Amino acid sequence: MSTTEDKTRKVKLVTSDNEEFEVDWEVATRSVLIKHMLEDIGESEEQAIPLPNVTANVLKKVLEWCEHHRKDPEPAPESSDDNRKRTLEIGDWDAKFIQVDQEMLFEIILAANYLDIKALLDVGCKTVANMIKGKQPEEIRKMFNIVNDFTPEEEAQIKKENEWAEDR
Amino acid sequence: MSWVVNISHLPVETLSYIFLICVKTSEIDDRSWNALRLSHVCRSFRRAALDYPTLWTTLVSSRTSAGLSLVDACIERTKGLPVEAVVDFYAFRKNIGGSEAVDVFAVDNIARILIPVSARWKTYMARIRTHKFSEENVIALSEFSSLAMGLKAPILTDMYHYDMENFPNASTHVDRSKIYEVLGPDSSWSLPTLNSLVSRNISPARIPPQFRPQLESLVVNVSGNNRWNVLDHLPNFLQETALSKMHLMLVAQIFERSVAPRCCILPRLKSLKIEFIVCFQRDWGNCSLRAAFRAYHFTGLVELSICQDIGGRALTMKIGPRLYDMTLVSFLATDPKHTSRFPCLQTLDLEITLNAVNRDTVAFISFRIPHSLIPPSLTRLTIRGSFALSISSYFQAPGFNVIFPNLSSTPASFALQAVALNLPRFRGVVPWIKELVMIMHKHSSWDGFKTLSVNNDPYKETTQVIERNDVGRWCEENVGDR
Repeated sequence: MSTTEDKTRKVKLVTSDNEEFEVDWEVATRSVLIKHMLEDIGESEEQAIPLPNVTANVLKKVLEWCEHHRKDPEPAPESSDDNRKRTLEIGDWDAKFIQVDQEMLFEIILAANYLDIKALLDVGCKTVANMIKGKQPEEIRKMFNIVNDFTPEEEAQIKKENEWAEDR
Repeated sequence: MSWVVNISHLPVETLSYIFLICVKTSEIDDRSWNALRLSHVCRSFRRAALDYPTLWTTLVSSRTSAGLSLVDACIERTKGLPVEAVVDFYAFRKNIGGSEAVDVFAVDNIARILIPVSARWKTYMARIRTHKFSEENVIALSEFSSLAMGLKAPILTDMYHYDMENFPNASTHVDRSKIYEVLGPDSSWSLPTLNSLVSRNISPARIPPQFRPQLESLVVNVSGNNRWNVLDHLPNFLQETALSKMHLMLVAQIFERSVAPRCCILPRLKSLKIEFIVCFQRDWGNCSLRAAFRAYHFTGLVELSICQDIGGRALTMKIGPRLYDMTLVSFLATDPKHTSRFPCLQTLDLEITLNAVNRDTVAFISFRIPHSLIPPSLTRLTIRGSFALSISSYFQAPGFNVIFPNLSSTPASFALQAVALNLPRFRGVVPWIKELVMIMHKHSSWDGFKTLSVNNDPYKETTQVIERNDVGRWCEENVGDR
């Protein structure tokens, strides 16, 4: 539970490329990882939180999202994947926010995963799911520059599986 | 060399989650095919897909013999997880030469694979389809019936009965009685955890009495004409259930009967959503919509959500120069001998849309909510609409008091604490709000009111919250908004 004191508190974050960001406690704690680290270090305002897996340009983008969603309610307790809401809908602001190149998109997903920001991870994953949905394997390979690295045995199995789709 | 992050850098659990979104947001018939396609992209995709059993849990009729191999593969790939079982039943009018035709029935032969794994059914969906089928991919109704005899589904919670034909053509409509007999469940089935039924164009009363007390949630979707038989048995059926949640979706229904069903008291039902989409009455003489619902007493209902369009034929009433939509009034109105059909109601959520058929004329129709219809227990009222709705409380008109005799008397008190308006313009609602304030003052209930929330742009988070003491001023400011 956050206190009024927490809400006025500033938090320092240091990225892998040694850039320092000072943000409001309420913004930083959208990340469960940072929240837990802050709980561990206690009241010390001076101590910066190191984020060795996130670069400055990605953190800047992630903090933009956290700033916009700073007042959102706390995420619900962990639910199983199967019970998560099955929808591809993304809010208007989030849809604009995530209109980035592929590299930044995957950087944001990786950062959201590392920082444990479930709602941002959802936005990123839904965006990729939207890109993939309904596409043939070859189209997916082309879109993400993926090499078809199946062995001849695996290729034979896939050919067999493709026959299941006959007349479909 | 620069480090370029791409999809292959995602952790396997993130990739699997993306796959899950892709698959579970697909149409039910495409889910396993989409999972299969993802497993054919590259080795890392294949590993992520095959190691994620949840992707493969929808076991759906493939309508080809080759496709059954995928169903077999899915069962293996689910690694023992609970599954969604989908069985298609076919009812087809086959031309046998000249003008002669015969009705033929069959079941997709996926049933032969699914029934042996019924112990893993989490959901069972039985769909009635009316298209042609290939003899080699089906089994007879009698074979299904005998395979399913004594079926045990110990973890099944959700059952879906879907008749996929929305707008049956009287000349080609095939009588489904033979399918209803075998669709399942029958009394030989064991379904100890069944608690939810979704029924589309099939009467929920098909569920044998032994399973009714278990039901906690019911969705009834009735689309198209001649579906009254679906609703006919509803009151008797509901009385035997323990429902806490119900959703009735009525699409293109003609209310044409004047006789109310037997009294139906639902003390356990806490949440009800009801939708009236492109519905109409034969005429006002019978007041059939009211007749259809007047016998229902929602004595335990706490949340009511009504979604309706305005302008349905014979659901509007001309009073003076204006037309008034009476759907809501017809549904909520109370008989003179009863004090309230909604004695515990706390929240009422109204969503008003434009009637797709009478779209040109609805701009001139007012929406009718007499203040007397507000249940005394109601604390929160929300009204949403995508057009400039005009609300009226006016009820004096020749003949009107005969049809709705109780509307002239307002409740002795109001518990209303909050009203929320999500409308593009407020001008048409301001007089109604002003009158509400006046009536609540008169009944000494205004001190309990807290806030009026208004939002004229559903796509923006621009809700303005007006405190009780400022509501009067807000009304004056918005009486002429454009």
